[in-house]
Amino acid sequence: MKNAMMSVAETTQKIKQGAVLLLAGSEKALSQLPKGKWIGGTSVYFVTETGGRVDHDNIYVTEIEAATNARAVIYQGEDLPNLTMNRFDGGLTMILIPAFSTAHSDFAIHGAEYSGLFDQPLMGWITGIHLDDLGKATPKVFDGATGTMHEDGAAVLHVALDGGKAAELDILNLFEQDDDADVITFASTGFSATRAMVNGAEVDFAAYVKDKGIDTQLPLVADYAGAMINVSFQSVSDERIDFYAPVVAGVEYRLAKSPGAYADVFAARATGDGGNALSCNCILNYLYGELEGKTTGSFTGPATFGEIAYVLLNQTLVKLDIHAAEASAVA
Amino acid sequence: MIPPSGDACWQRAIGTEKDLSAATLATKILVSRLRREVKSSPHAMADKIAELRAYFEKNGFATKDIALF
Repeated sequence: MKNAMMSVAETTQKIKQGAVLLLAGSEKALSQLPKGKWIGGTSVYFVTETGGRVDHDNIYVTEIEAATNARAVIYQGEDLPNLTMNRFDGGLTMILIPAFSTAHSDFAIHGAEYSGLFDQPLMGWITGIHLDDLGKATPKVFDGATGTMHEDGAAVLHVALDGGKAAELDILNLFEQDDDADVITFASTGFSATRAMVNGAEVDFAAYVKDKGIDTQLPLVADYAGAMINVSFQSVSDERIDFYAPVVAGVEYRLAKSPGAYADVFAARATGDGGNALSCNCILNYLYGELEGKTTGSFTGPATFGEIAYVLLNQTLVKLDIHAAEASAVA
Repeated sequence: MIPPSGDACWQRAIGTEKDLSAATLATKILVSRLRREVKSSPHAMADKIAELRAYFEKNGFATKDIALF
């Protein structure tokens, strides 16, 4: 894969050449593009080789050179679970969903149960806006096949790969459970919680968070059979806690340990050839890690309102690499 | 070769909290969900084993993960 920040004119040229593209940019920039084999989502925060930056004019372009075919589809409403249907055998699927949309919450809560979800890599992100525009604008996704823009639904790009190639999807999460932290569980799945069980005792969760002085820049972390999966705090009110991803009923969470200086730790751990991988990182890591102007190694891409590696993630780097099928089989 | 559904490896994968850090991401997330579902409905074990076996039958890239169970 090839990644680059491009002007609207340069991106237009790529589309006209028939390239299969995944795009991230402002609504204004993406709205100017011609039809083609692409999907796009709004984002103005980027992690680039020269550092984190806000860019309203240029587009972050990922070209999937190993693609032999691609089909862009918008899935909305009751059709959303069908996003795992009609894929290319041995291919991969890219997905973009607008933040705060119905599709965002539906996918986050029910996505892990979609039929065949794990049968091929599903990678993407939750699209966003500049934080100064919250309440004034909405995140969008674009279907390049029809040239349409949507503020709800999932823009999906089913990609067929050259037979000798395979996609490998993984995450890099700098947060780990703090073994000394309380064990927290929730009775129901959702983006907010009023009550929780803490070390087996039921508590008013908002009061607990306030009384303990919990640093809500650190996520709750669950151990998914060895994969650390975060849920980030969005807000704390007197009545409830809101999250950027759903807490899942029955899952044991602990508050994360601080990873230290995020940009430095990230650069040290993000090893490998990020220049040839598709990746995205969380807007919260961008903000809390103060990444603007800082370089973080070779993994570049949009800073997003949620990351998708099969399921919705928070404060996590998602990376997708395409390489020879034999290498994937032994990886 | 995918072990038959009666093989003890499937019970170990779904019925215990065995760490699968070395497995592929898809396997970890799927197994984690299956474990939760079996915890809340123990009688569903056979269905969950069938679901996990079907996943490996379709996804050759992940079959190395079975050795971790």
